Amino acid sequence: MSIRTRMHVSQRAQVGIVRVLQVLLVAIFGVGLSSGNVVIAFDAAIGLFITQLPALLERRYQIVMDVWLVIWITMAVFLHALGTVPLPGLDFESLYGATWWWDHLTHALSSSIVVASGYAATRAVQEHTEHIQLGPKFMFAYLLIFVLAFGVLWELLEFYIAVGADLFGIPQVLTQYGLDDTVLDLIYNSIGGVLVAVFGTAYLAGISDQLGDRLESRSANR
Amino acid sequence: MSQQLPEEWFLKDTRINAAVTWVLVGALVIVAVSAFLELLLARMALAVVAAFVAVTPALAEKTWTRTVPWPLLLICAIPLSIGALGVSFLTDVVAGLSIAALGMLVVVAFQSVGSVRMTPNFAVFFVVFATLATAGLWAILSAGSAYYFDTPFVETNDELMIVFNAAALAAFLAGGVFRLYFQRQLKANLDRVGGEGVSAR
Repeated sequence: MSIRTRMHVSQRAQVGIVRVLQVLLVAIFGVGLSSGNVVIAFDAAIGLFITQLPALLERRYQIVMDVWLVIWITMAVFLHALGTVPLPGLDFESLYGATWWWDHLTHALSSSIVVASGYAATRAVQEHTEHIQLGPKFMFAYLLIFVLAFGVLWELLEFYIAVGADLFGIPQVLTQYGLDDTVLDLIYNSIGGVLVAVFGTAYLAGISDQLGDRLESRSANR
Repeated sequence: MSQQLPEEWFLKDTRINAAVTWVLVGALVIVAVSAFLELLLARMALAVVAAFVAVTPALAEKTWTRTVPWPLLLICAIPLSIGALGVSFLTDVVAGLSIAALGMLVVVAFQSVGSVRMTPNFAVFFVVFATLATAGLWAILSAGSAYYFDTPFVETNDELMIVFNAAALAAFLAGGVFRLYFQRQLKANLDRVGGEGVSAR
């Protein structure tokens, strides 16, 4: 039973949620531009681009994502962008600055998407070739490895962006706040990864099968 | 490289190699026990995993001679003599290379008991990620241990980034070496069987 039939939300309402989030992202982009805040505008622009990816995959590769997957991705992007904006209700502080948990929330949410993509791709490859077979237990360990490794690479990326921003005197688009924050990022990434590894994999079979079919037809054409 | 990672690339079947490997395993077990008694859990885990991957093929196939090459096992054990990470960049890189080697032996061990199959390319990818993940896991566990038990840990974010950089360098270096080695092995296989059975793609 898919999550859709259980939650009785019509397709149109789901697409509506995605559209509203995208419009809000455009609004955040506008706020960033009008207040001259490069970080807000940049993060919102990247976010808007990411929310276009499901549609792009569908047009280019005929891979149709479940609308809940699209909402999941759009929500992660939106919450990050929202967190960078100074809000009137918070004395014009951003959610990242005003709360201790916003950073953890967005890290868990984005890493869950990374792990979901990793799972869908790996499962597709596994179905595609008989020489790769991980089995459920090893797959679980593999997903944890995946999220931890990605977290390390991400922290390195943040570090080098900070170093680069320092060198060239440009504003930082991503921020490392310190040792404790880096370690907490890694912990919350892992929590997001574990949640997907435990609960999420069943919902990703559909997208993974489509990826597998693409691999199939690609190697058939060769 | 669309074939399963051949375990023969990492396993030997000679009595001399097996004898040396088993002696090393004995030493690893002693290290593991003493580390356990001193509550050095990371050290214990490393020694246990190294001993485990060294003898799993022998246990799985019930021939005491089927073990990993002893020099490779020795390479995996290097971090045991380094002690702590975050002291110097160079030792961190060496430790990272050892972890990568250990990661490959873990893959071979899982393959030999038949629970996992990987292609050479996927194994390389897996080992690179496993090395990076080890750095991440080390950071989380050491930070937790420093918080609760007051054990030593890096002081600043920049120091942690040095460890991560070392891990990344070691991971990609090891990945590159494994890939080159695999390509050479596959080419050698191709030359031997006259291009039948295996493909180098």
